[in-house]
Amino acid sequence: MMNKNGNLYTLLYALILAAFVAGVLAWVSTSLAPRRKANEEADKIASIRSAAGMAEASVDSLERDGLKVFRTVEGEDTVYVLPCAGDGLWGLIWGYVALEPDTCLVRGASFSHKSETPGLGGRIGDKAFGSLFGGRAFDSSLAGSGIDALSGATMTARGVEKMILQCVEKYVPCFDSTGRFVFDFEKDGQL
Amino acid sequence: MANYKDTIRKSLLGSNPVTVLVLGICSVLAVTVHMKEALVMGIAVTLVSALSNLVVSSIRKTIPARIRIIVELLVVSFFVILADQLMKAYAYPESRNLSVYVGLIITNCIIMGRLESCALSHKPVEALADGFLNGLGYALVLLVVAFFREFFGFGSIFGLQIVPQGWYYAAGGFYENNGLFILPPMALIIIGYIVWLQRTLDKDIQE
Amino acid sequence: MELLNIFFKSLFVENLALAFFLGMCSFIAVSKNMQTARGLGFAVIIMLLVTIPLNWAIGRYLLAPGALKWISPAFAEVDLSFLTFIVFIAVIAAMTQVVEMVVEKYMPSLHLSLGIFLPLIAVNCAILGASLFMQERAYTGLGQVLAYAAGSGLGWFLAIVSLAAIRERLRYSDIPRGLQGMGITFLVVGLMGLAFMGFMGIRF
Repeated sequence: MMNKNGNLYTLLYALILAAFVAGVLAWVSTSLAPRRKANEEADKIASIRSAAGMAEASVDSLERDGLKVFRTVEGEDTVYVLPCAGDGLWGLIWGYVALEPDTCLVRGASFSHKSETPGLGGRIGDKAFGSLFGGRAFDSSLAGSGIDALSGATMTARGVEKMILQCVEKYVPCFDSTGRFVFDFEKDGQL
Repeated sequence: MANYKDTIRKSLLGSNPVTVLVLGICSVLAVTVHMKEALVMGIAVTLVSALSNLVVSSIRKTIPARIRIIVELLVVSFFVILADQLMKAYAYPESRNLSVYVGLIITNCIIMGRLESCALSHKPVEALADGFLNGLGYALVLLVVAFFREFFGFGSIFGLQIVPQGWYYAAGGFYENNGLFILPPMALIIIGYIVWLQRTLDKDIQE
Repeated sequence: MELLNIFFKSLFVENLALAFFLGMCSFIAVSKNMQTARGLGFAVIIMLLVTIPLNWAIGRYLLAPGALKWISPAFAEVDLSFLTFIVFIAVIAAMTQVVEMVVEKYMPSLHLSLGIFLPLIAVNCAILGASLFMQERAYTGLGQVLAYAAGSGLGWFLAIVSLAAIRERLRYSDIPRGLQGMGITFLVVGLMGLAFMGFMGIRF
């Protein structure tokens, strides 16, 4: 038995334990990656559908000059959904804003987050929060839509505000002078 | 048997990790807005605390003294991250709600506190029981604080609306939810009152 | 100017102790008197100044998606971000022990006054929380990171020293028996937190 307080023993112990922990976690993470990816993808589609308010819609993604748009089609109904992303208090927050066809009104939105405080900032993931955005005009005034619902979560509310402003700024050039969303996007993939 | 009863009573009340030992306060502030989240967090911490107590106690004789804190933290975060990764693959909807807690569990000083003061010096079975009971004591405080915050802050319990909708000012009534209860400082004030009550009832609690 | 902005923002508006309530356990447990509070506050400043820049560099050059590109383009796809948590914690725990050894060797008087507080810091969630915030706010240069670390550390120091000052005064107050000590401290911290919420409205 080696001296338990010796430098060599301490170093070896630390190295072996760290290697074991990192090894197991890396192995688990890589071997589960496909499943995780599939789950994340399914979740993304569900959020897009929930923003558009269409439970069974087919979703495909379109792209032009690096701008991404999702198109959801259910029967006769076609709705365009714009993705947005930003930072909350603890981590990423993201969301999808669905536009009413042929207007610059918002049909609905859904948001999600990686690690906001449960019950405070985490409420942006609730359906009720996303629905606050429905019926609003898609311009910079949209950013304030959900602020009042997030009392107690100032930082997350600011994150949402900033994210929506950036999103509006990014997609405003896609509207023509009559306020219609112009969709000369190229198909990028089916979701 | 009396011995066990005594230990249980002690962990849950007399030396409760939150109100008496002042451990794990940060997460009490963070997850007590709703009772449901408080319950989930309580269960998660109880499990992690019990398991890591067991593991650290089993390897306690091999841990070099100088790096024991790193070793303990590695064990705790190993369990938590492993669980998070597995849930992301096999129970995605649940993990969406739970992954938020990962950081809060690892940094919860109740777990570290029990590892330092119990697991390093006790046999695995005793350490397992100690970790489990302290986790329960923590969960108990979480639920009590969350009860007041959810009831006064949202008018609901476990997400179930208790205060009738018609009472609300917006619906022509007289009642309004107290937004103050949603803010983190209110959790501290509630714990303050719990401590007051507990110390008035139980005169033996020492500083 | 920008650095000063970050410094004051993390000092007051985003005060780790009183706006985000991080490190509450030691905040409440170790603020019984001024001297120990000062010791712990000082230890937190040192640890933040050491661990935040280090974690920033590790996050940026090792863990972020594609961060390993500087070693070889073959690693451009590697994403180690799932290890962020465990690495940050390991760095903090290791640094705690390194700082303790250095201080013990070269500044024995400081070591004496810090006493038991240095080892305690490894589990102080203010330190880990600060690293996670740092990553979240995507600071672009070492200067910004240092300004943030200094502001956060000083903010925590100020908070615990103020609480200790209040608690020293409370000793002469006529408080109901059950509320003495821990109970009244919780209430005081809650009220201090409410007061600090006033800073939240300030935008930089």
